[in-house]
Amino acid sequence: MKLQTQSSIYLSSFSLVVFVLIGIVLYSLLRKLSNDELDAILRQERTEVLSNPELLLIANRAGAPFFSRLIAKEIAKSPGDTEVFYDSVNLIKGSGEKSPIRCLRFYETVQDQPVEFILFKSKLPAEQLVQQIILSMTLIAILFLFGIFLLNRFAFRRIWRDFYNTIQALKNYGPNQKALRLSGSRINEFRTLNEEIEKMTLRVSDTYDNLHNFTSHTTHEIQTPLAVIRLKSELLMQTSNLNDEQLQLIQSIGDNSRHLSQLNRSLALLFKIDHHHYSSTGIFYPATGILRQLDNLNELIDIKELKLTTRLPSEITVSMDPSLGDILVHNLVKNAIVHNQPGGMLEIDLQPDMLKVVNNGPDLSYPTDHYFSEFIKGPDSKGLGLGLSLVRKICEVSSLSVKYTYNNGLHQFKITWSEKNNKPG
Amino acid sequence: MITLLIIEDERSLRESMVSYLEPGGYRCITAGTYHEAMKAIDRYDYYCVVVDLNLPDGDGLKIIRLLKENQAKCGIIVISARDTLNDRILGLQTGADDYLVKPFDLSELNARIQSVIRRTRYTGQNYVIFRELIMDPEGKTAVLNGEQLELTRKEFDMLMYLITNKNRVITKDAIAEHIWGDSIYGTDYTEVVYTHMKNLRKKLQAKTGIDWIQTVYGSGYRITEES
Repeated sequence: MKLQTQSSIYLSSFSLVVFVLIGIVLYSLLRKLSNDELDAILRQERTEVLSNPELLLIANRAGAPFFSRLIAKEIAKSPGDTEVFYDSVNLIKGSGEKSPIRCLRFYETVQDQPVEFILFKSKLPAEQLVQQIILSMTLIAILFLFGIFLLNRFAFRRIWRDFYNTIQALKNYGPNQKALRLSGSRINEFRTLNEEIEKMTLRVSDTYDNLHNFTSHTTHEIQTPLAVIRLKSELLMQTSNLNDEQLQLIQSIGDNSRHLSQLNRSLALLFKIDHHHYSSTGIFYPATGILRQLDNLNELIDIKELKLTTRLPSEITVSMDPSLGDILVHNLVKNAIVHNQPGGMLEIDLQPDMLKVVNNGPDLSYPTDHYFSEFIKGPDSKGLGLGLSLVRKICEVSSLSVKYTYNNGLHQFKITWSEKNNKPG
Repeated sequence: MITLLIIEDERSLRESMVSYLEPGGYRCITAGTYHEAMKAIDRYDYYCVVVDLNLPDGDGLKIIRLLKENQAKCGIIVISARDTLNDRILGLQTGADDYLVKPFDLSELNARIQSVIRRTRYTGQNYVIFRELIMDPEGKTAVLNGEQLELTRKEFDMLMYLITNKNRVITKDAIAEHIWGDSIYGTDYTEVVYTHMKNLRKKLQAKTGIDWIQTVYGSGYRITEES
């Protein structure tokens, strides 16, 4: 929900509650005032009636003064000198409508007979007045709410403008950018916010730069000693009179330095992709890359006796860096071959908007989202455990989505992209 | 005598390269800096120059440009830690004949040097002769004792690689990387190398009666001139 909507809701619900409360209070106050006034009139009329006892005698007769507003009823016993005011309704003859009245009940003894008298007066004029007052109150309330809405709308924009500028700047802020420079604000809180954000992005960009330098220096500096180890072990292997044990030791040194070099190279690649050393544009033909890798690894497919089915229309393109595309499909294909079981199936299906690689293989019993993590390897794997991290990273920077599923002994990697962006030309 | 110039600032690497290459019949001149390289360039007519692009006092690419102007017949191999496509393209466009990413195998460097020398020095037909075997690197054909030796493309490359590094132990990893590139890494490639090697030996043995290729226990293979 937008900030503006939220604050409008709060403001209007609060105002509504206040108006309703004011309305209720005003209504009861006005009612009380009008009742008090009617009561005073009724009491006045009672005194008038009592000062002319003959009026009491002719109370219920037509034509008598107060005839329409004074009812007399003989009762057994007078409860004494009491007067009771109360509200009631009167049926208007003919129309059948009810009209509100204010009544005064009192008792008098007329010619030794206790009589109950009810004197009443229409409340209609007073009620109408109250209604009109409430109506105008409601009108004022509506106008007020509308005013609040307008004020909120325009003042809001002005007040929060700097805040929204800051949000926009943060949205555009990328991981490898310099620290943000935000414009000042007349509002203290926003100014503080901007200053803190500037400081924070400065720290982020400093950390980024340090990490960047550290990693690129480390990966670069490690290469030379690794190269030395590799060359020296190769030279050592050429020396004469080595026994089998010594040869195996040298081979092991060579193997491990090779492993370390590959690891270093893959980590450096991950780092470079992460830090946008590759463009996100270009046209990649997946079929070509996949066929090249299948051709390169065909002996492995033969040795494992894999059943290979492919559907690779050569005209399908993906808009991404072609060298990253190559690394992506090479890793997927290699992964599907290496982790396959002897005699298993390998299916590669390329469609205009997706690439599916399916292979047989044992369930590797770790959660599927771990497959793409660094250094996750199957048992006895000779690889680095970085192939699928590379796949994920490349998909991330190339706006492709990658999904892994395992079902009935089949591992499936599905990479999808939006077709409309990938028409060549 | 075939003279090579090796320009590499890291002494250990330089010495290792010389140790491997000199027994193969090369004379190796070395340079550890840009200035040393500049001085060395005028001294000999080189068959091949191996140059590291990152030198402490200058740019290896400048050396390549200078060599192209003064020694047209000299082959140039870049050795560099930078492995992106752009780096390779830049190196090759400047005039290098080959680009080798560090760390590499000495056997691979040796093979690249020989291949570059063959391409730049000997135009037209040139053959590699080993014992009774004549190999044509261009046509990828081999003749043994006057008879055509039927080899697959990969068997041919493997044999060529062994002969280029004759009398040396070549590891299975180096062979795999030479034939399949480093994309093979992480797979069961030793088995693949073994299968190819077995077939190659069978084919050679059928024609010569003896096994030219020795298995070096636990590490690799060696082809020798005497057996």
